[in-house]
Amino acid sequence: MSHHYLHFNSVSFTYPDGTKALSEVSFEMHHGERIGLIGANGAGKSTLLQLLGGFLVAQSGSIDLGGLKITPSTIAEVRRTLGFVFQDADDQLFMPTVFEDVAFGPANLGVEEPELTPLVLETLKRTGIAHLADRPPYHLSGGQKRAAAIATVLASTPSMLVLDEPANALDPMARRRIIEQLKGFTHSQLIASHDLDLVLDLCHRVVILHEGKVAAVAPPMTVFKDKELLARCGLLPPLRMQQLPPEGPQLKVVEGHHHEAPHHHHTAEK
Amino acid sequence: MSRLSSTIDGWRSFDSFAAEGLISALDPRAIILSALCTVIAMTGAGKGEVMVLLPLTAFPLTLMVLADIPALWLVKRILPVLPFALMIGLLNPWLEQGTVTLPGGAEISTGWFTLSSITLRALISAATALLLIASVGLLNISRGLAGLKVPALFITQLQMLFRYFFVIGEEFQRMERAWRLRSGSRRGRMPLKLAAQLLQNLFLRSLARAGRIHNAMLARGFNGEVPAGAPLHWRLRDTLWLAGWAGFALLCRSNLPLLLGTLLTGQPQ
Repeated sequence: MSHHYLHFNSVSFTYPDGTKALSEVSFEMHHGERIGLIGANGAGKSTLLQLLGGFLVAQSGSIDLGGLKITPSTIAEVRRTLGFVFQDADDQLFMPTVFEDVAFGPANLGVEEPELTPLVLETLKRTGIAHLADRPPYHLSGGQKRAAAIATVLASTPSMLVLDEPANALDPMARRRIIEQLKGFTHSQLIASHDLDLVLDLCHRVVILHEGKVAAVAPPMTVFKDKELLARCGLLPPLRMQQLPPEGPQLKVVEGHHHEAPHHHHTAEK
Repeated sequence: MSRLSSTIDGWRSFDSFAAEGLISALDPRAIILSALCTVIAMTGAGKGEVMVLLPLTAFPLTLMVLADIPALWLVKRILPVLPFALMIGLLNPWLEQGTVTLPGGAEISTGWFTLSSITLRALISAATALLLIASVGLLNISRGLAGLKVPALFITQLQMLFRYFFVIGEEFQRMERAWRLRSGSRRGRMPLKLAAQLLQNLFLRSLARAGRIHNAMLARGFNGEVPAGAPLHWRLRDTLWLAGWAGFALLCRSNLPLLLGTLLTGQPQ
């Protein structure tokens, strides 16, 4: 039995106020696969992740994690298997130092000294933040916080990573680093994101959610080329696939200075 | 940034001294127990016994020096306690009937001694508590308390309370920044009515944020107890430290200034 396998089988969930968040959601994720979970706001992505983490319980259908049904009684084992990286790194980092935050997960799982410290140091090294071990998390930059949040999860040696907006609010370099890092991990990964370029870069397949239902499950290129599907689901293709204007911006030379004409935005200088 | 907002920022670096100084070489249990000795000696002193209390300031001062904590840092943080202490004992000089004759022959109300005693107790308690967390760190205090067999429930409550304080502080900073950005020409203090409305919102927001943090903890195997970390090792220096402060507290309890006076003058005081 591989814990890297995930199967959502006709999962439905309705909030107590009657809002139907998910309806008959089914898809599979295989060993080592990276799946992008995309959809407009309110499509049901967050609810799906909360069900996967056991923070909510599905009213019908089942979620199977490597042969283990996710239910309140199996949740401890499920959480040992899954590594959750939350959208806001500030919610994930709560200990006084980065080292202690990374040690929190494995220590809860029963890892003790002398194994704990080398495990934490190795994880920090792997995520490129060994030099931040003694720093308080709130003093870190956005990119460092994100790397620390990933380290806190990796230290528990999960079989599968669940990432909610992994590149949220990161500058282009930090975003690129996170993408490369995620590419380097062998874990199965479920990545919920509005950053479709990141999804295109990283994922083997895409699950599109629309109004709580699965609208499509297919390779990213297939999905992103289907403009009709994207429009129906309230999405646009990734920026790099959007058509650029045929001409670059018009440049006027005024007294030796270049001024870009205001109605052209997308292309380089002519 | 408002004064309250910058104060919150200052409190965030609260236990950043914990990894520095000689204090970090001691077992947290030894420091907790020595602080307890100081507090017990302090509470045992009579209501107007200022001279018994004065030597007890040695404990927080030692913590401050050994942990390399700047005096100004401490002063800024314990001064807010002062008005509360003064408020409690302010009327004592007028309400108390007894008088004391000073060396010059002047008579003053015993209430002045009570007021000084209340103020001193408040300052010693606040300084000891603040310096204990600042020099040892909350995580090490938790380890120490666990090592002293304090129930895990109490330790977790302490940690959560400490963390929740910062969650509220961070949410307050965000809301306050948003208000300042849109307050237009209005400067200075927030109107009271608006502050009351924001307070309600603040608790809802901080509760939601605390929920998200709790979920992040659960996702990493949290089962109600924060892991204790590396085991503690009691050494000879910890025994010496504790014995020293316990002995000192006992001496203070027996009125150290009186004993010193008797020793120096050879006359019973």
